[in-house]
Amino acid sequence: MSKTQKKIEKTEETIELSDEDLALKNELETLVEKLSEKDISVQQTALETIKKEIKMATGSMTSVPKPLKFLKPFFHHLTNIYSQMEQSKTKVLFADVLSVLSMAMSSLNERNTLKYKLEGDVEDIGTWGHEYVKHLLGEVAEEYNLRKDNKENLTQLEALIEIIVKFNMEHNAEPDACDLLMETEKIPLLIPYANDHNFTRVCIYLLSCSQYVPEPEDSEILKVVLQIYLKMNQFTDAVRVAIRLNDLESISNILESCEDELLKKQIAFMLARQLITIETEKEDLVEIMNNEKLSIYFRKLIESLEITEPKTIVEIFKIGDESQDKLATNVDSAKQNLATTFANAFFHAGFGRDSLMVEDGNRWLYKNKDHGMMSAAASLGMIFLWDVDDGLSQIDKFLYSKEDYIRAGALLSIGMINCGIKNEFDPALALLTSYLEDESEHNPTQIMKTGAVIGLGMAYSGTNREDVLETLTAIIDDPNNSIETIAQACLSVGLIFIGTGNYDVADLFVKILLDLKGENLKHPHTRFIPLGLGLVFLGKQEDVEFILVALKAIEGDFSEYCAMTVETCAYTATGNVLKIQRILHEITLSLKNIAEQKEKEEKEKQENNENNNNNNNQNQNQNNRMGPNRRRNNQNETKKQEDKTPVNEHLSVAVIGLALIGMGEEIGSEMLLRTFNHLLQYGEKSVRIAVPLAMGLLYSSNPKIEVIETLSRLTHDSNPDIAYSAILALGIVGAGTSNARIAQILKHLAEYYSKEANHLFLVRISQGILQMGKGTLTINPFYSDRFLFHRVAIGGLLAVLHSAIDIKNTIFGSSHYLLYWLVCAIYPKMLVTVNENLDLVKATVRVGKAVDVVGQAGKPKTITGFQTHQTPVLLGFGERGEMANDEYFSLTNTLEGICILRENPNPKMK
Amino acid sequence: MGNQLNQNQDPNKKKDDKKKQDKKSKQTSEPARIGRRKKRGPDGVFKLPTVKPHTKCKLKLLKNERIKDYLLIEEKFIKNINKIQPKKEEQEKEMVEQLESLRGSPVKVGTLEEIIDDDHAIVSVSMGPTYYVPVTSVVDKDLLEPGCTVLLHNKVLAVVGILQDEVDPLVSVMKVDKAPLETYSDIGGLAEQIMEIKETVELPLTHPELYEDLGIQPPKGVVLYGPPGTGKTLLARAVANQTSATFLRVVGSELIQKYLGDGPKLVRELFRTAKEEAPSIVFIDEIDAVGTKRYDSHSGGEREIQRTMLELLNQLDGFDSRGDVKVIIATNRIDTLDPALIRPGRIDRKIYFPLPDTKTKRKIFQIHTSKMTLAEDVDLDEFIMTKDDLSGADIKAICSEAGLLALRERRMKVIQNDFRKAKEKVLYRKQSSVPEKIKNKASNYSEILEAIYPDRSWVVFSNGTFIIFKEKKKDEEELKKDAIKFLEREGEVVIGTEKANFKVLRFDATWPIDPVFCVYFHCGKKLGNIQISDELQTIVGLNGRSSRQKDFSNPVIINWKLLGNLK
Repeated sequence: MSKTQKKIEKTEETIELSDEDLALKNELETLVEKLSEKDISVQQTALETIKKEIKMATGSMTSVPKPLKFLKPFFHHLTNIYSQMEQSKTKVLFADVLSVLSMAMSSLNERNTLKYKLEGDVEDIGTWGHEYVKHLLGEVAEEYNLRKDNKENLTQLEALIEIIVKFNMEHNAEPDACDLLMETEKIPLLIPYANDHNFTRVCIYLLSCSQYVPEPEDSEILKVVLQIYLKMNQFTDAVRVAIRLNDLESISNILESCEDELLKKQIAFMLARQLITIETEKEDLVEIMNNEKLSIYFRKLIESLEITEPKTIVEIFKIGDESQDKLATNVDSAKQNLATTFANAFFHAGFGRDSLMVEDGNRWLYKNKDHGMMSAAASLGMIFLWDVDDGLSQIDKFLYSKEDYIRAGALLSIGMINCGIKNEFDPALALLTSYLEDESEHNPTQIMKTGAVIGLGMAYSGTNREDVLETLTAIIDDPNNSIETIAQACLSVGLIFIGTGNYDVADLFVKILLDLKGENLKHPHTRFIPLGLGLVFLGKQEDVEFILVALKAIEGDFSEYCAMTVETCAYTATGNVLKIQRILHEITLSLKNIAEQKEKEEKEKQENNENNNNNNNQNQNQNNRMGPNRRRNNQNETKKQEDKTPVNEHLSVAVIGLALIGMGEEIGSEMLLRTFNHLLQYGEKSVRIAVPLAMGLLYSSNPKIEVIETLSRLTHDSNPDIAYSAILALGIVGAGTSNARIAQILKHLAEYYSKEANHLFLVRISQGILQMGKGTLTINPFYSDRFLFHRVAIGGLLAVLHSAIDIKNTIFGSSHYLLYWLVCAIYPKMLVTVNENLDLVKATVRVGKAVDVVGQAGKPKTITGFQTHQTPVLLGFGERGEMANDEYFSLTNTLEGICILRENPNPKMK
Repeated sequence: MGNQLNQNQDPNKKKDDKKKQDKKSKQTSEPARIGRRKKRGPDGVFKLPTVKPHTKCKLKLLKNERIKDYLLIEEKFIKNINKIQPKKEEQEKEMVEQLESLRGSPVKVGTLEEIIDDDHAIVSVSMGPTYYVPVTSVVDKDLLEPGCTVLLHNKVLAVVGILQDEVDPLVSVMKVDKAPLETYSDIGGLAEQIMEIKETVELPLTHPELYEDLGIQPPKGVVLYGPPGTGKTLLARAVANQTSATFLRVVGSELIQKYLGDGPKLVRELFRTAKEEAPSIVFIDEIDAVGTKRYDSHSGGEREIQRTMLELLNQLDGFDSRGDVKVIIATNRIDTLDPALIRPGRIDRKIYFPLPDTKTKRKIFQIHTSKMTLAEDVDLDEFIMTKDDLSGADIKAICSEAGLLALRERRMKVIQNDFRKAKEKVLYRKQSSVPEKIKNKASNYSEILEAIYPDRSWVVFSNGTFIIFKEKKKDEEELKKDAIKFLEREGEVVIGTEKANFKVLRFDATWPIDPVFCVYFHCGKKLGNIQISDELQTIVGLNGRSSRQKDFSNPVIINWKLLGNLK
């Protein structure tokens, strides 16, 4: 506008003024003349008239007020008069007027408005309207930082800042106040000015700002928000912020300072979601925090949705009659049976009923072979998810099976059932530990140990339990154990101590990594060791630096792989652009190396016309590529021979890392999609394999159409590895949503790939994941209005995605049980309302798409396109609920998960 | 797209592809979706995220900076990649050459009639026969849709390319590429109108946060109305000059097209272009060409015009959001516009352009004379203070006419007399059909009537309505009585100054009143073939109306104002 304004001003000057304007101009001129007189009283009256004129000039917002325009030419004259004046009341008034006048002057760098304001009446800033305050605010921020750099005196400015903030907070300009304080790094000043009317707006504004400011500043902002919430007695909101800060001390303080018993329970529910336990003597709170009733609430949810009936596998896959024969005459029936097992498990997750395993488990079990039996037995754990009592009794019988695999699966399922649930008797620890001791009566084999180790990891993820660590350390330190068991133990440790940055645990990991030698370095399971370490430092940001230094000592290329894994984990969900830049740079460098390598290779090819195999070996040596040893799996050997492209798995990790860093923040996620498209276009194989996986991580349980389309395109990629990861990613993106579009794509894929055992295997699993819990579950780690993230969920997702990098040797091989790590991320996407006795009540809620209301005026609607439901109800990604009537009060402002309602004693509507 | 592209760009992969090809020849690519064109506009993935809130605040800055950071990273990444893969460029060149050779030269243009399967289609060449031809693999099949224009190989007529007519050429003409020279300073007066249009059109595009701060929706459009020559179009041009937004201008009559459905289509295209190039301003001049009130019509042409208007209604406030598109429409006759067109929500603001008052007239004179060399004796007040209804356009005409007169006499200065003559000339032109004798003789109302009907009597009411009797009556008192009796008899005549107040009066041939003149205030009856003298037609502004249109359902008021023009 300023440009147009100037233009207009210029042109307007040439035109003769209208009579009124002329009169005004003349009057102002005489006033200016009067001002130059020496008599103070004359000056005083003149100034007051000018002030009146300026205040009266409301005019339009499209141009500069007229008095200011007419006084502009006299500005220098006026400043001269001013500087000669003696200190007096009049001078103060004069300074005020000059301050306003300077606003119209274009010399921005002089900051005259501020200069004269400081000499004028500092207390009074509201007289001249909002535009003036805004202008002043800008100058203050600039001047403040300038003076700070020059280490000049700041007290005067600080006083002014307080006044401005007070003014802004009182006049609906909260964002302005926040901006000023953020610029001058004085956010705590906001706290005293927060009141009933403005605190919500201030807080949501600050919260969304905190996502975009660099590292230490964001937690400072969060701390201020926490204090404001506490000041306003918004305990549940305060707890949300405290959880985000991961500040256990504040959480327990909040819990203590809260006097309302019911509110405490609500807080306990919120803590339970994040798997936080605060020590307290109140048993009911402990019970809630232990998540013991999660299964009950979930079962109630599915009951009220009337979806308890189990479905047959044909129904799950939505196979028509005509193609049923196809299912039977499959290329590899063992593989298809395994896929069916998984799909059935995911489909009935948490239901406690199914059509395959629960009633007649043994028959189905023996349709599987070896490792397949393990996964089949373990699927019971998924079906009885969270239901500790029933589940344990069901699984019990398998513990006495003769087959080691079945027993291993049973151990795994014990852990799975206890995932996210705490129990004072610790059945999981007691049972599983006994299978880990070599001397024990159970005579555990390697595979049973693996199952038990994973079980421990699932059951105690995020609990920080030292006693579990001890058990697992024993396994890790025992050189007799296979690398597979050790790696899974490491991953379990990582999940148990997720995001703690525990140095002892870190030491343990570094030691293992440094001890890794030869073959072990290339084992497909080795990747889980650095992942475990990464999880320990999940979100720890700079704390990870010393670990990165230590990791440099690892032999060969694996060091690079470890560093990339750990570093990306450390910056999870920070949106740190610098890290993203660095990772992309690394990818470019690697791509450059590969390109150069290829050139050499081709030259050599021309020179010595050697046979293909030799060349391939050379290529291997040259690249010195790390990664899995490809000789293990006989089944896939032939295929691998064909596959000559070098594998640079650290690039795959890097791509997943991009998603990891950018997740949880909308702009970053959307921009990363663009980056992924570039990577698809320019990247080589290991980059392209990881792109679908990264998209899956970024949009887990959030089927965005662009993502679906990109993935659906990739499922037909001529490179099977990329198609594999795309198919799996489709499942993850749609996990628990029953998204019709994805279902359709998967159905087509099932027909398209009906002759390809591996493709079909994955398609079936994806179909299961898509309909996880019949569409009642989510695996998205973000919850509570996408404000908080569940670390364990990220850990679970990462474990699956990392195994999918080398899908042929893990999931297609014998380690398909790795898919069960997904259980860590599963949670019902429900809104359950309970009354004061924690019994289910039906309340009317509106559910709609959440609207970003940050920084908007008035009281905008927070949801759009809503529908009215009776609780319990499902909340999709990006949806929000609100109470539809005033029959009940909700104790929390974020209607998600389990909410306690308090009855309204005198509701208006009935 | 990505699928094919990637395959080509990864030479490494090609090797193993070939080996597998035998086995998987059927599975090379995803079956293309045919017949449904993908959504136009930028691909969803490549769109930048929208930044909320709109208000100026640090949050917005931070978010925008984040986007910028990502874009910079992307840029650097692509730059580096291109640096390490220079070979690809050569390959691309080769591919382009190959493509050219495939395409052949010259190419023909044809229309796609139907798509048979993935690789075959039926095309027609310039209304000639249709052919069943192959579609080459280089064509992006997602873009093929029946009816689109395709490039054909000159010999085998295979489809080798698609001509994408993204924007209707008619619409692209409407875009104002060169800003008009007029600025706000070229408008005399109209300060209020300028302010209103700025608030409605410019500010929402430049400072949306001002509206957001207050929590109101900015207005979506304005209608400019008022007598001719009062500066409606001029103001629109000034807006176009001032704004950096895309300015699309169209005249209402342009929207009326020859073929059925073309008009609405043009409207759609117009708004689609506007939305794509948002922020933009659409200016529709002379909207009454399409925007008149709807009525039952029997002619296909009229119905088509109405359909065009319906499309306009939909575009202005229909199901789809209009986005950052502001609409300005201008008309002389707002009363004829369909009420739906100018309801709030479609057109939120109605800005009236009155004939200039003396102050404004002076300003307009100043603007036009500021670049002229005037003699010292020129006193513009003479023209400013006259009672004539001078519009802005008249004043401009007077000034240029005066200049021309001076030029004729080879003077370098314009003198007062030039202006006088110019004014005569301009006003003469304006009322050229007024007979000479009236113009000279009649200085007031009575004189005019005297001049036309020397053998009749008349009564004039203070509001300017008059009654003319069939014969001359000497006694004025009697005359008045008769007139009042006539009025009283019916008791329905409300002689107000407003048209709306005018009541219907029955016509009776036996009355001592000239039937011709009754017409002007009696309505609702067809009068048959009544001859009205040309002179009077002129006076009452009925020119060319009575002869054509015998239904006098719209009454015309004759009043002093109209007659005053004659002098």
